[in-house]
Amino acid sequence: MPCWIVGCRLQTMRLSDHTNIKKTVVAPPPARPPAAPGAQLLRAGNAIRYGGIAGGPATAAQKAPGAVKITPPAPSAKSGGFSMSALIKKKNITQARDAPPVKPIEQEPAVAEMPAKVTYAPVIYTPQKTVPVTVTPPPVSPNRPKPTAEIGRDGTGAQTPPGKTLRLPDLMTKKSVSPSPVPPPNISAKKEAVAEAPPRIMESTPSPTQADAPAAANASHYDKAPAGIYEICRQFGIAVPEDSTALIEQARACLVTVFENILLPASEQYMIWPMIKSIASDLDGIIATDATVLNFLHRYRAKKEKLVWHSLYTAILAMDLAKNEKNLSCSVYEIGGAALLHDAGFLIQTTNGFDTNGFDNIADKKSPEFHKHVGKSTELARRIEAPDAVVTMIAQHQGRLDGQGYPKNLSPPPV
Amino acid sequence: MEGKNLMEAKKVLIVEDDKSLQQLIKKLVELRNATVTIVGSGKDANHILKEQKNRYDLVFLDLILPEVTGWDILETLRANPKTKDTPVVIFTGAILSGKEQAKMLTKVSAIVEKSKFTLEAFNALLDRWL
Repeated sequence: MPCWIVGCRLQTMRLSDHTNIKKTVVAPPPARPPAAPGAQLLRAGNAIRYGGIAGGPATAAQKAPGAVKITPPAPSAKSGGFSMSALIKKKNITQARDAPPVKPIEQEPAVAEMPAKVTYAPVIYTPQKTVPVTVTPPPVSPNRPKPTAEIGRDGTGAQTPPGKTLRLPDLMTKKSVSPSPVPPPNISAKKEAVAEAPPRIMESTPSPTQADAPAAANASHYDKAPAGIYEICRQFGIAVPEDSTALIEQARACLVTVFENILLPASEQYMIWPMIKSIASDLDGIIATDATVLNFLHRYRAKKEKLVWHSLYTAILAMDLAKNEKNLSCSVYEIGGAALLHDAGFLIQTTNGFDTNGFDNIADKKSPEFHKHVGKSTELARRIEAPDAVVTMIAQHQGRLDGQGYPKNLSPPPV
Repeated sequence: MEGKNLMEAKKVLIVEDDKSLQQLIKKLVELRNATVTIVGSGKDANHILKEQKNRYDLVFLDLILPEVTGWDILETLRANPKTKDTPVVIFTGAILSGKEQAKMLTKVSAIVEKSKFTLEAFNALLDRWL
């Protein structure tokens, strides 16, 4: 795989994506008006490059883009797919009840495609505890920047209250919630602004400027977060992945819940691995859409819950690296899942019961006691019936290329 | 008979792992009286293409997919005599250089860059093939 495409995808796959192939037959739309004369096809904007392959597409003179006008429909109240992580109750985060009502999309028939102005009703998450979590949608912007957010540096923001543990049976009964905390946009389109976006002529051969552009292999694959296309999704009432702040917090809360439940009897552990995969899926979405996710994690690295944050870090890094590999013998989600669980063995090594600080409770990092966490983690992975590849990765995660790792002094296979 | 053929809905295959973008393409395509099939992974796409139950008039293909990449699917399509001429529109979030675009355009019909997506451009593309 050429390296320039690695990591550029939008990855928001959730559990339901693995299961079905959907086929939809729709009712015919109203008859299209006759095509406008003139070759307007190639004035469509700078996003599309046309090639010469196949199909015998209509010529520019035969069809014109202005013939069909699409008006974004009113946003639906609920949209988006099922997410395991949505099952996790967002503690201490509640949407303000006095938030201004969301206005329906104003449609202007003459402005068919790109609404010029999108404004967001402010959303304030009112914390119930001491650490504020505030998400403020930014003002109008074609490429909507990430919402600002604050999470306590000690990582206690919105964590599970002590003494109240979410158990799997509770999670199973919770209904899925709307995945996106961002409300449908309040749209007011303006003709003038639409006219300000002059379309460019598409060429099937690259211009000198394009040819001189730096190779994508050298460019960060996070340079172009597709904020614009998600804005269009919102205008059509389609749910988009949550902003990274909310997703990180959700992943953290979900992982805490997993750690709290992973020591339960085996009969209650059948949902652990799906939850792990869901967390990995959410993290994958963050990787693809937020260039600053690692900075974010570094900035807010907690002094508490070190095991949780270490696991999240490791999962993000491992999954990002895994995307560079074409011939993986396991899925990216399995790699992420193994990373999330690789140090879970510390949970049953601590003497003070459940402790998400994990390895900090064992002072000597070279002691045999410390090394036992590999076996414990592997044991936990087997208990939750994780895939074999995951169990193997966890069992070997302290291996080293020079064969000096533990517990078995494994050496890498010959290349 | 000819009129019946004209009214027959075209079949579009969307191979995209982003649910939001799946739904966006679906909505836009359905406005043109087309039948949409959505698959969320390269493995599913390969499976459905090898079944050959349907002949697709247009394929939207994301490059970065779980398990099997869009490149592999493109090779599968082009290797099959029945699908080698199927128009394929690459729907990618990758940043492509001019040379890369030119090279890719020898194998596909169009490239849509997610980062520069506009409704106007996409409608023009659909007008061309649907």
